[in-house]
Amino acid sequence: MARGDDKAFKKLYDTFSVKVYNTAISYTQNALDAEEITQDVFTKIYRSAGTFKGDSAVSTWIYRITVNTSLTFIKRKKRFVFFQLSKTKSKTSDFYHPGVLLEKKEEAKMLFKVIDTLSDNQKTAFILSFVEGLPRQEVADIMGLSLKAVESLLMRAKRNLRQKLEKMYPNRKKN
Amino acid sequence: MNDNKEKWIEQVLGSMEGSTRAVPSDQLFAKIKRGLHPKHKTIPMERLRVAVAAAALLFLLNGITIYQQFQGTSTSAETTYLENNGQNLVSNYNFYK
Repeated sequence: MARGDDKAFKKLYDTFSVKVYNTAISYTQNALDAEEITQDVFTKIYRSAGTFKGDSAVSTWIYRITVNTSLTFIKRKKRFVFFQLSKTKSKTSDFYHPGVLLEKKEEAKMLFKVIDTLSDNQKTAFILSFVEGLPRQEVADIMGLSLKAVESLLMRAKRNLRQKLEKMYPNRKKN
Repeated sequence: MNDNKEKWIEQVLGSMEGSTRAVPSDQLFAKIKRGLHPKHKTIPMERLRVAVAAAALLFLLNGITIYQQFQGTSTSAETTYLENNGQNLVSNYNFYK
């Protein structure tokens, strides 16, 4: 792939596109934005495949690019919306994850609403662990943190989510 | 009440259990490939808007400047005319009488 082999690139896309897209949509809570991030991630992979040294697993490397690209995208979009140049302000509160079970749809909507209020690190740890379902050690490798640090981040993330949900409980039907 | 609340919170926190991954559209790979090897260079809409706005501003500023120039010329001509009590600036073209 580093030599520009299109077949290898397609194979890599088939293996990782769903993982990249699913992670991206968990951050952006918007299908169009998630596709834009996926496109951006695979463009970066294609252009920088030659610089990949193999220090980590390919999946770790790709997840790392995805997380960074998603966080940068969100920051850029927030700035853009702040200056009111965009008319397509995303409505994150109405986001339904496409893969969620039908009977859990409403609960998942609430979950994504509160995930959006977490700090970048807590959000990343939570999304990779509970939406992507990655093992804690892989999450630690992606984030460049120790296993203990990730566990502590997850504990704080859950505590914060719980507090937010407690406040939302009386109005849960309206949301 | 509290039991219900706790139950609900647990349900929300565990709502992604058993879910499947979201899948991108089938056209995305073709779009990525087009982006990697573009036949025609595309200009992002935002950049185009900024360029049009800059051109309009430049055009407007030029218009104002030209307008002011004309206004200035006619004003100074009027002033000179008035200073000479309604007489022409040069009434006699003969150097020697």
